[in-house]
Order: sequence, then structure tokens, then C-alpha cells
Amino acid sequence: MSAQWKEIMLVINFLFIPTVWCLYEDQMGLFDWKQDFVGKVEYLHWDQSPAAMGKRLFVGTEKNVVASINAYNGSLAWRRVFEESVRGRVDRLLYQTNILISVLAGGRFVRSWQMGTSLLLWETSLLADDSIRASAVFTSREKADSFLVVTAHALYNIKTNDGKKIWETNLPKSDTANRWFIGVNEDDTYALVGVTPETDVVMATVNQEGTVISQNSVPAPWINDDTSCQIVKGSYFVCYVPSKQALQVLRLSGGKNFISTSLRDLGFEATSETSIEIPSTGVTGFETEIILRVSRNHMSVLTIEGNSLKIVKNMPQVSAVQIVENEDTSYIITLQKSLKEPSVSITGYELKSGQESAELSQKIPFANSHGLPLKVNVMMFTRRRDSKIGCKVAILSEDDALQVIQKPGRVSWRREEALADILAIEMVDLPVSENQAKFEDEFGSHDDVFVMFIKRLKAQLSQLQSFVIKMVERLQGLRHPAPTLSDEDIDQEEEEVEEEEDLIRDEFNLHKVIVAVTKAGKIFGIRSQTGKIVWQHYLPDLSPFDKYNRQTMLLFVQRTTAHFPNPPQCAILGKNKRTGNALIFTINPALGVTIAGTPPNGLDLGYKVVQASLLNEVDEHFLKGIILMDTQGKIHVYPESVQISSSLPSLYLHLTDLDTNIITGYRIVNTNDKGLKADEVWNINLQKSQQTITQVVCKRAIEHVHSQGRVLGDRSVLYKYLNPNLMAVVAEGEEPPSPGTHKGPSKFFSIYLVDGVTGHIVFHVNHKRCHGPINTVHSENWVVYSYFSEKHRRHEIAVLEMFEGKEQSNSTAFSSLSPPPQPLVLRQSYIFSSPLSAMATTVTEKGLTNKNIIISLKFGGLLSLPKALLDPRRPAMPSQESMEEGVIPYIPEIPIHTEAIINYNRTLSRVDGIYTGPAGLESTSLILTYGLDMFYTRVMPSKMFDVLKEDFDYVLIGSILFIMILVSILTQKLAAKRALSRAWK
Amino acid sequence: MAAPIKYTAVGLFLAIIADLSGLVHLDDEFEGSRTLTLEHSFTIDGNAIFSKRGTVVIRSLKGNKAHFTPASDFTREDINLLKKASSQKGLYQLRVPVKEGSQQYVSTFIPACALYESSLNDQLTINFDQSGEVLGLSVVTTPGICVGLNVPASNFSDWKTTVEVMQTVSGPVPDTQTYIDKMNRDKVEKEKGGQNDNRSFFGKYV
Repeated sequence: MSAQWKEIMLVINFLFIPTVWCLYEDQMGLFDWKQDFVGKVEYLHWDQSPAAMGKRLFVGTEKNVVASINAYNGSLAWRRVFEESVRGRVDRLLYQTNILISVLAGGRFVRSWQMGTSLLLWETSLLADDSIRASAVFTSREKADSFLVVTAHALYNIKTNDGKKIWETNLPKSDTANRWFIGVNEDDTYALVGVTPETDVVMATVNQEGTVISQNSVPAPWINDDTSCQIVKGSYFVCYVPSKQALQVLRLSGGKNFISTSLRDLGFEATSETSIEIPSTGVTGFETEIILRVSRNHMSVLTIEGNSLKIVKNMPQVSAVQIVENEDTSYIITLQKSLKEPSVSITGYELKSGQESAELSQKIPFANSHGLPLKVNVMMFTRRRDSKIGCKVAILSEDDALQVIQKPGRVSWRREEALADILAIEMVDLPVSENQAKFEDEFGSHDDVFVMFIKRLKAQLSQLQSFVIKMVERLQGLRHPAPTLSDEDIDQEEEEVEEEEDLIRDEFNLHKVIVAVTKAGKIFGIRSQTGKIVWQHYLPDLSPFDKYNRQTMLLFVQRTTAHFPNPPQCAILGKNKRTGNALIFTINPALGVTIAGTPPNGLDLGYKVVQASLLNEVDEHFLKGIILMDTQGKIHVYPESVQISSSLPSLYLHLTDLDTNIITGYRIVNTNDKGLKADEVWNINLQKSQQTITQVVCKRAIEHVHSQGRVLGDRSVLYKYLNPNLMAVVAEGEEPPSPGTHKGPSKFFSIYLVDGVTGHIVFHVNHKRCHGPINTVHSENWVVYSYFSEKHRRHEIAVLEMFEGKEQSNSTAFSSLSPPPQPLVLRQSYIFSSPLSAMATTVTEKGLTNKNIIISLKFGGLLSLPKALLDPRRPAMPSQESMEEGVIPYIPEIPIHTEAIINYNRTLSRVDGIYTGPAGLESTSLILTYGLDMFYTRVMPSKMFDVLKEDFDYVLIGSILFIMILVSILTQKLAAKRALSRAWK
Repeated sequence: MAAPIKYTAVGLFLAIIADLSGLVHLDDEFEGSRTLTLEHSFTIDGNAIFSKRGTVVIRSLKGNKAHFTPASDFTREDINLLKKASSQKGLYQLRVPVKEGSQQYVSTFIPACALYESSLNDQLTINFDQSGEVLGLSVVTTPGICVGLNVPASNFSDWKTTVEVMQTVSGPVPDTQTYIDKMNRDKVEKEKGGQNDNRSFFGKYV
């Protein structure tokens, strides 16, 4: 009976472990922060309703989000996040006075939103094909009571107030056309153009009752899915054809063929960026002009008069244009980035007269790190006081940032939406303080005694100085900045002061700089304790490696802050957008300055890279090299000052070919005449006919393993199989339905643990009737992965743990070339009751602390799960020995405790990944999740064993100590007295 | 106190049944013997020239039954090649075709000196998936480290090779049945031994 009690107590004990992580209410936001993003903005509208004129912005984004942004401070008023798949794709966001309608997934979901609260007013579903984008326009310019949606199957006219279909019409050729354009003609008929790629366009005119009046098709073999086209004045169809470098115009009423106008005839030089610009509000169907982007910073406004194109205004140097109407006057708003200084001039012209409007023109500061402004959305209004026109401007730039100008000449706020698409992330230590640096300088060098003495004196003087300053500051209390001329200056000054104070390593090295590389080609340095951006760089040519629709960029920490006086250095590796070659960019992550010798837009390496890895070899300045393999199989080292010959020939690389599922290993050798060369030394074939490799997961290089084994109940040690070269390869596939049984095709996946040096497959396991997405965590001697079981229709998490056995073959080093005997692989699987989107494991400075698995759940929680719950040694029948060892008895389900959800009530949408990094405190691991939301916090998997608690009672302990000392002195005295008196007896 | 032992036995029995069913399931995947041609090369400076070393006959994937038959003796020439490769930090590479007669190979390597110093004492591991396709090949020698020994030529008379076969195993599944059984047993036990504890509140803790 007593054994059972013990067992129950043990279970209860473990059930209570998670409670120690939860925060007190007043600790909310003290160690963590969260930032919400919406993603790259595709559709943008200013709120024009009389109640909230210009107070809100409505956006529809590439990340399947519809949101309302507060125009005064840029905060999110509300945000609706739709499904990640095509079912959530925002095809159009229609807005007019009091109506906000989103058309999703090719017209499958048409929803109307209450603008202030984001309540769903109505929803209707149309017959649609979600692979084809829907088009939608309002039927009239103002106060429309219905709108048109064209899906892959039909044209619908839908009432705006309740979503009822007024009529629907089948369109000609709707089975082949996969893009539709709508325009509204002056005589209130609707013009529709359907595009069948590489074949023809079909034109149809539909009257207000929904009957097709006329239809006609015109061959257009040059047209494809990417051709930019537009309907002008409801009666012309204009396309730009890059292959011909010409604009093609087709008259919709009775036009028999396209009339081609070469760009050269218009006086323009075609570039790869040339296209017809779609305004940020989306196509309204009432366009009378064409905005042509000739190049990155050359725009032109054209119109059609009598079948021929006419230039309304040609604007070289301008990169963003909008045509906006205010009280029956149309204006062209242009944005021109200054070449000399970081500013943008906004100019307004009257469309008819071409006259510049002084009231609209202004100049705003615009940092080079935003690239060029790409799109502009202006809300114009006439002031009641002096009946002058004014405007509010929203700008979308190349770096995906959204900024808004409320008062002329000043950017009120900006949202860095590039951060919604982070592809690579690292946390870098901050540099040590000045005093600390002086110590380093003092003890690091070998000068003669006199110089050292002077240095010592200087260091102590400066220490004294900083101490005095600190004391004075403390006495003065909070500092107030001196009054300055404008509030902007104050803002800037305050920021500067803060930065100077903060960008220094703290006592426990908890504050770091987060370096984030984004899909837009922008690199950010973010302060980890506040989430504020310290520095940013935009590289116009940087784009991710894009293979099999998986986008990757690489970020290497080449030198940490540990090598004073050498500054830390990070390298970013991506693809050059223009040449396709590898592009490398090096930066000091603490300050955000580019390393001397790096071109400001990155260095084009001149070859395409297939594999890259950070080396352990350093040059004389402690800079780690990067080894790169190009498409020719040649090996390059960056920078060239790093000599790797000392570690040759024990340097190995491997490549995974997804087309053949063959993983090939290479050994790098130095040939005297041709430099470095990669020799193929091994390969394995993972059967492409059955499956495809989806992931290759290696261990993290920064990981330390403190304990070599596990102490069992009988005091013997089970040694871990710690192969640093081990990688987990995940391959997913589908079994064809077998003719004998009546089963359909069933999915499966396999996991291979492969030694990266010799190609030895250490272990392979196969899960039948299970499918991905598979999240894999590989650390120490274990692999944890999650998958979906089709058989049981539930999510499961499995763990593989490798042990060498009771004896260790080589306790000092691991060599793949003389490996230990085949490891013992223990495995266990558990039911996980919630879908999950990403997994990671905590990592600490020395690897002493227990590990937790951080799991982001699809419902928005971030779960911190002790690794002890994912331990294949959990016994089904607890024995005396297992209890002695402290293994939790096996329970098939992994519990999700709400106390273990470390983001408490801050829901995280669409987590792409979780980054974990060590802090200076061994107990603490820093966590950053990224995706649509960014969330930063810290966890202590083994509680705070190395820090005194905040509520530690110094007074009590101090006074007890004092009393004890007092008592001991007293008793000593008394004892001496007594001894003396006894001696007299 | 005899009761728990009995139940443990039941648990074991269940586990065995589960294992057996796994075996039965796997058996219909692939069974049957096959022969693979093993080729080797003493590679210096990355120039691999493969020649036939022998054949590996696999009689049963399940039973891990495989053995190696050398094609010919280790000739004088081979010894010299191996010595040369060993002294020049060359590699000893091995490969087998994915299918018999196929031009697609899986390959592996060890430093040539490791084979030399082990005097042809090596263990091959061939990995197969569940349908019997070859995935990979690896080799280790005993001892596996090079210390610079000089081995007499008489040690190279024949191969001392063992072949191991590894097949993909089925992944773990959550073991709900055992847990439910255990819960039921606990319940029964509780009911059986469910006499009320008549001791006082403090009595229990004394």
C-alpha cells in the first residue's frame, strides 16, 4: 500500500510542477512583450465615413489579414486573421463610406464587416474555385447599393446591406479563363474581360439586369498569369507585354484585335520592373487613366483618346503615384525620393491643368532604410475654416513598411510590416560597458609595468567618476530633458539618451540584440527587453533562396562580443534579386553599422550557392569563416583571410537533393593547384519513388550538454549517445491504395537519423497512416517530433532517445569515424490534444538546466512543456527503481496545463517559428516567437535556482544573522565566566 | 503482495502480443533473400576506382541473417594499394547498388588507415526500408582509430567481415491499452482492499 501512496504522491508532485511558471498579475509585460503585425499591405483604404473621417485605415494583406489601424498612433483597432491556406487569401477589400467588404478565396467567402468593431454583418458564399482570384467592384462611384463579384464560375451582383444576390450570370469561356477584369462603362453597362493564358481574351458586356448583351473573343497568345492589365474608362482593355516591350490596347466594343504601342514610341525605356500599376485601393472599375511604372523610380500617367495612348504626365524620378479626387477635381499625387538626403517630396498636380498645388506639396524625412516609396494613398479633404485643401498620406515602401503623415512635413508613425515575415533570427550579446572594456584592455595586453600602472590608475579614476555620476543621478531623481524647440527634437533626444544607457550588457546578460532578417530584404536589430528597433538596413537586392516554395535566408554570427576590442559581426547570406548569385552582407549587430569593406547593398559573390555553413576556424581577429559550396561543386571560404587548411581533411559537408532524395556527403580537401575541392565520399538513397525529404534537422552549434549520462535507480549510469554530427532527416510520402483491400491512399512519414560525416544511418523509423506537418526538435541525445495520426485522427508527439549503454566507448571525444556501437534507441509516443504550429527546445549557457519544449499551439498559446514528460523511459508499470530515479509513470496523454502557457492571455496568431537563446544566467532561457505576431519572454525550466527571489527578506535574514552573532558572543562570554567561577570552586 | 507481480506478468504478456502483431505486420512487407555486389576502392586524392570485393547475401531481413562472400583473395597488389592509401591519408570507399544490376549506388567510406590497422576486420551495416529497398551502407572497423601501426602482410590473407542488416522499424504509438488496463486493475484493487480507514485524522500521520 505504501508503494502505491508513494506513486500517487509522485504523480501529484509532477502535476504541480508547472504551477511554478505562472506569473503574478502585476508581472504581466514585465519580462515579455508582444507585437502584432498584419503583413505586407495589399489593399489600403482611409476611413471616409462621416463619423470617423480619417481616423482609421483599413488594410487587407498578403498574410490573409483584414485589419483596421488607428490613424493617430498606428495601433491595431482590430484584426481578423483568416486561414493560412488559400481559403483565407484576401482577393479584394472593397470599401465605400460605410461598407467594408472582403472577398476571400476566389469568392468562396464574401463578408461584410462592421467597421468600428469588426463584427461580421453578413457572409455569403459564392460558387468559386479558390485557385482563381476573384475580382470585385462597386456598381457606382459613391453610395453603391450593390457590388459585382466575378468568380471562376459566374458574375454575381450582391446587395451591400444584406449580402443577398440580386442576380447571377454565367460568363462565356468561364471554364478556361482564369483571370477576370471588370470595368463600369459610362452608359452603366459592365465590361468584363476574361483571360485564358497564352490563348485569348474574351470580352463580354453585361447590362444592369445581368444579361450578357454582347460577347467576343480576341486571340492574345502573349498573355499569361503575370501580365499586368487594366480596363480603362470601361471601354478599353490595356495590357503591358514584357516580351514585346509594348502596351496592347483593345477596344471592348467591337474591337477585333489588340493595337500595339511600343514603349519606345512613347519615349520610355523598358525595364524588368515595367508594369501597369495597381493602386493601393485596388481596382475600382472606374479608372480613366493608366499609371505606368516604367522603372523602379520612373512613373507615367497615360490615358486613351481615340484608340491611341496619350501621355498625361511623365514623371521621371517618381516612384509612387496616386490619382485622387476631391470635390470633382482630380489630382495626381507623386512621391519622389531625394537622391542626396533621406527625404521624400510629396507633390500634388491638378490632373486637367497639370498645375502644381502648393497646399498638397510637402517634404518629409524618409530614411534610406525604407527603400523607395512604392504606393501612396492620400485622403484629401477641404478644411471648413479656410476652405483650403489638406491631406493625410499613407505610404507603402519597398521594405513593406506602412507610414502615415497626419500633419504636413512629419511622419506620425510607421509600422514595420516586414517583421511579419522573418526568415532568420539570432540573439547577440550586447557589448560590455566602457569600464568593463577598460578592464579587458588592461588585463588582456602585455605592456611593461609602468604603462600597466598608468592604465590601472586611469581605470580606477574612471570607475570613481562613473560612481560619482551615478550617485548624483540618484540624488537628483528623474532627469528632465532641457526644453528644446520642437517636440520632435525632444522625441529624438530622449531616444538617443535611452540608447546610450541601454546598449550595454546588463549584469546577467539578459538583454540582447535580436537580429532579424526578413523576406523583404530588410534587416532589423531589435532590443530584446523592449522590442524597440535599434537599427535597420534595407538591401534592395537581397531576396531569399527559394527552392521548392521554401524561402530561406541565412544568418551567421561570425564573431560574438567576447573578443574585445574586435566588434561583433554577423553575416547575412541571401540571393541577389537581379543576378541570382549569392549576396553576403556583414554587419555589427550591436550598433548596426556595416563592417568596413562591405558594399552598402551587400557583396555579390559572383556564384550561386548550394550549401553554406559556419566554420569553427577563426582568423587572427577571431572571425569565424563561412564555407560555401557553389553549383559547380567548388568550395569557397568567406572571408578569405580565414585559413582552414589546419582542419583539413576532416571537414565534411552534405547536400540533400530533393529531386532524387539522395543525400551526398563531401570531404573538403586542399588541392595544390585548384584550391579547395569537395570530394564525394558517401551517399544514401531515400527512395524518391515513395517519399520526399521535407526536413533536415541538425543540432544547434551553441548547445552544450552538461551531463554525459543518466543515473538510474540502481546508481548505475546509462550513457547518452551524443553524436554532434547527427542529423534527423524527415521524409513524407503517400502509399498508393492497395488493390486487395478497400483502403484509400494513406500517408506516411519516416525519420532517419544520419551521421553527417560518414552517412551511417544510425536509426530509421516509419509511421504509417500519419502525416505532417511534422515539427522536429533535435537536441542532446533525443529527437522529438509531432505529427497527425490519420488512424486515430489526433495529434501525437513522439520521442526517440539514444543511449550508448552502460559503458561509454570514448569518454573524451566523439568520432564519427570510429563510432561507438549501435546505440540503444528508446522510443515512446503520446497523444497531444491540441494542434500545434512550431516547436523548439530551451537552451541555456552551460546546458545544466533541465530542458523544456516550447510548443506554439494553433489556438494561440505558447506551452512550456518539461522534457521529463517526453521521456521514453517513462514506465507503464512504475517499479521501485523507476521511482527511485524519478521517472514519471507513463500516461498516454500529454497534459496541457493553462499555468504552463507562458504567454498567458496574449494570443499568438500564426507562429512561424520559435527562437530560443541562452542568457547569462544558467537558469534562464530567452524565447522569441515570430510569425504574424512577435512575442518575447524568458523561461526558467528548473526554476530560478541561481538568483535570490525578488521577495527575498534581506532584513529578516540579516537581523537573524546579527542576533546569532550577538548570541554567540554573549554565550561565549557567559561560558567563560562560568568556567572561571567553576575553576574557583 | 503477490497481486502486483501477477499483474506485471499480464502486462508483459500484453507487450509480447503487441510485439508479435508488429512482427506479423512487418512480415508481409518484405521477406526473401537477395544478393548485392559489394565494390570497393582505395581512393587517393578523390580518384575512386571501384572494383568488385565480393557479394553480400541477405537471407532474411527480419532475422538479421546476412553474410559476405569475398570475390577473390586480398592480393599483393591490393595490399600495396591499401598501404599507399593508408600512408597518404586516402580513403577506403565501399558501395553497393540500390538494386542488383542498377547503376545507382549507395556508398560510404572510412579512412584507409583504419582498414589497414584493423587488418581487414570490418563490419558492414546495410539499411533497408520496409519494402526492402536499399537506403544506405556504412562500415566500421575494429579498432576504428589509426595510431600508425605497421601491420605484417600475413594479416591480410582474408577478410574478417561481418554484415549487419537494419530495417526501418515502425514508429511508436501511444500505448493507451496498457494504461486503461492499469487503471482498471487499480480500480479493482481499490475495491478489493477498500476497507475504511478507521484511524483518526491525526492517527494517519503518526
